Amino acid sequence: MVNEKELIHQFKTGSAVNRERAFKMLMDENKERVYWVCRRMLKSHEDANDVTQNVFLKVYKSLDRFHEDARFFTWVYRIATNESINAIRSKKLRHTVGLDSLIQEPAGNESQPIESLKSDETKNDIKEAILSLPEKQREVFMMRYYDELSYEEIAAILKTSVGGLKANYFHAFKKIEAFLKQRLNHEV
Amino acid sequence: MRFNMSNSDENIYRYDIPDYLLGKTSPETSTMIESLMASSPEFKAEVDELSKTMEEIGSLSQLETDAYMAELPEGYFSDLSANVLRRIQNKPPGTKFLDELSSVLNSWFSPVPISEFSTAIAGFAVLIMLFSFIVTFQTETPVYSSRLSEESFTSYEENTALATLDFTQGHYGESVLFSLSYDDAEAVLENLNASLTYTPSTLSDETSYEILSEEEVNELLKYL
Repeated sequence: MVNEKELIHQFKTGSAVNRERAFKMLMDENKERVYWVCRRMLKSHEDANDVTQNVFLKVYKSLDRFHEDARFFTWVYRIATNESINAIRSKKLRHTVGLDSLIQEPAGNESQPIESLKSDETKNDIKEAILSLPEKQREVFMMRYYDELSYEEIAAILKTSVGGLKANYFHAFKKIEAFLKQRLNHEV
Repeated sequence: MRFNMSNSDENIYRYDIPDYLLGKTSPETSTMIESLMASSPEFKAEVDELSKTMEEIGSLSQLETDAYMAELPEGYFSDLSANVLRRIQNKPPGTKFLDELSSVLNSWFSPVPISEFSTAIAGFAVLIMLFSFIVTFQTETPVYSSRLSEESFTSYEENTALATLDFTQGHYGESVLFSLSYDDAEAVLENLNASLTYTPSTLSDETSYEILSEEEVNELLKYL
């Protein structure tokens, strides 16, 4: 495990070569997570790639002002979500919130097997269920379940208590569960 | 291992069920949840139900990740850092306004050779002196010497009038004479000569009534 604080210190105080080396190590450590955060919010790989690169350019420019007592990924995560939202706004992309882009896709064509159609229906139900969550619960759910942030990191981003986040996460699951049950009852 | 469970324990640990099902709880919390499942059928039913929901979400999540992974170009993540670093190197470093300002100020106050500094100061002083001389010479003249004590300055026109006034007060007779025309002055002088009765004993009869000679009168009239 790379010592993030040490790398950030090297970046701030080191020579040009050391700065670049420290930044590259920080980027290598976090790039996949950042990409997936962006990818789940954006519609295509190309958009996610552009935004991920922009995120790291922004990190490079602002790292000198970063407070070393804060968590690096929490800070980068916030930049990544903001950049993704900006990209959605500027390109007038559809805000997928990770999942809703697929809701608009056709459930399948006529040649698809029935199992596949059923699977697509279930996928869409779950996506709709997630989208139906209250904003706070949806944010916590996405951050904890998909982005695998710790409660402490989420608390730092959303400026709330860990206890409240656990309750939000739990209730998000319960609401998805209720949503799916209701759909099932309608189908029957 | 058995624990004394209560409803409040169930409520507290309910919120840990999602993390427990994903294997993200601490060993102590996991043990507590398992004890609750063993002691409370309601708690166990809740865990089972949530487990099913999470399986469905998990399968969707996996499908989605697989689809995203399929569209990733080969070696994408290993090239990503290089691409970002290339963009950083190609981009000219942006200079902030404050940095620019501080560099300008630093250049002002940086040490310069003393000869250059004193030349600059001397040049500046000369420039100021020239400027003040030009302004003073063109627009303001010290007042006539008798008025200097009043510590005031007047314009050229005012100054000329004041000088005339001073002269008039000091030499009233001459100033009245100077203000007459040539004919008037001549008449005055003739009247003056005619009215004089005093005849000094040293003078002859021809000159007893004259004060000024002809040349003197003509000389005097030249000034008028």
